[in-house]
Amino acid sequence: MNCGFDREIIQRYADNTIDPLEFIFLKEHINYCGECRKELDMVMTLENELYKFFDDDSKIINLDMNITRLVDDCMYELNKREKLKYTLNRSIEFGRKVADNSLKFAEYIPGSKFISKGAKRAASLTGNLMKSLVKKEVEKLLTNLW
Amino acid sequence: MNVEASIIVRCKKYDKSAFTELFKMYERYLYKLCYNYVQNEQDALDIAQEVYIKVFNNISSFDVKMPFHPWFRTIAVNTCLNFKRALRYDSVSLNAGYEDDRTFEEVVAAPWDVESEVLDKELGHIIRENLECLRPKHRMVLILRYYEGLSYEEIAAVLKEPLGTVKTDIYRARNILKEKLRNAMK
Repeated sequence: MNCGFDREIIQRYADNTIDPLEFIFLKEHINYCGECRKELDMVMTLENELYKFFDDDSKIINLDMNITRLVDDCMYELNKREKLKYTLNRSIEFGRKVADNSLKFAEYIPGSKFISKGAKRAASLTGNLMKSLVKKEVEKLLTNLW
Repeated sequence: MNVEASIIVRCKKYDKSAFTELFKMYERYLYKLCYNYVQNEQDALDIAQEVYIKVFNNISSFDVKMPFHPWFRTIAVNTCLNFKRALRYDSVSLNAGYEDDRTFEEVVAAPWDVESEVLDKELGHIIRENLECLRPKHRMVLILRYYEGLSYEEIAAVLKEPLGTVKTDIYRARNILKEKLRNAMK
């Protein structure tokens, strides 16, 4: 492989992506370079053999993939998944309804409004207290920084 | 391969007969692709079955406005590439050949003039033997190139690889097979 000719051109010829000018170079070169002639010979033989090899039908003479059974199995699995999904959704829906009804029931307990107001006020007070504490701490940090 | 959109639409509704029709349509193509990759019947059948299950489970996400074949092919190629099996790799032998003085036309015409079935079988046998020794990715690029008839750009798109990588892979794979053929033909 010492003639210096670009072997990529030979491959491009085999790939049918060769430029017209490259084709002229290749044709000329092959007529006097034995090395590249052998290379072209080998490249073309391999191309031809690869196409033939991958297209060979002899390996699928008795092909039977039992597609009907495969589709049946897939449908069965799908139905199983769908049933599970349906059951889960029903359970979630049932749980939500139970929670809703419990809340509705809580409204009729004597003094529930007073408790609810108290809880809201406590939450608001705690929130304000936290805010002022954070504000103080941040101010302290900033003062220390400056 | 052209698949009618109506079959896909029916498949998306999980119509059993549509799936059977679609899978039967793809049976030979898919088996050949898998067989070319693994070079044995049992593994090819296993992979083909896995591909069908994936197609069945993911058909709902397929856009009917898009062509079906590239989508199917991508699933098949990825399933093949993810298939794990003990593989051995071979080294490249770099021996040079013989002398002759044929013209360009004679050299180019020669491979198609080979009529000897015996020689064809031998060359096919050499390819089969050495194909198993190639890296899985190298085998797949050869399948996409010679079985699917894709261009380098299309192969790069299927494998989601840069064009340069695909070209290098094909070059390396072909070089290994070329050297094996060269040695066998000496």
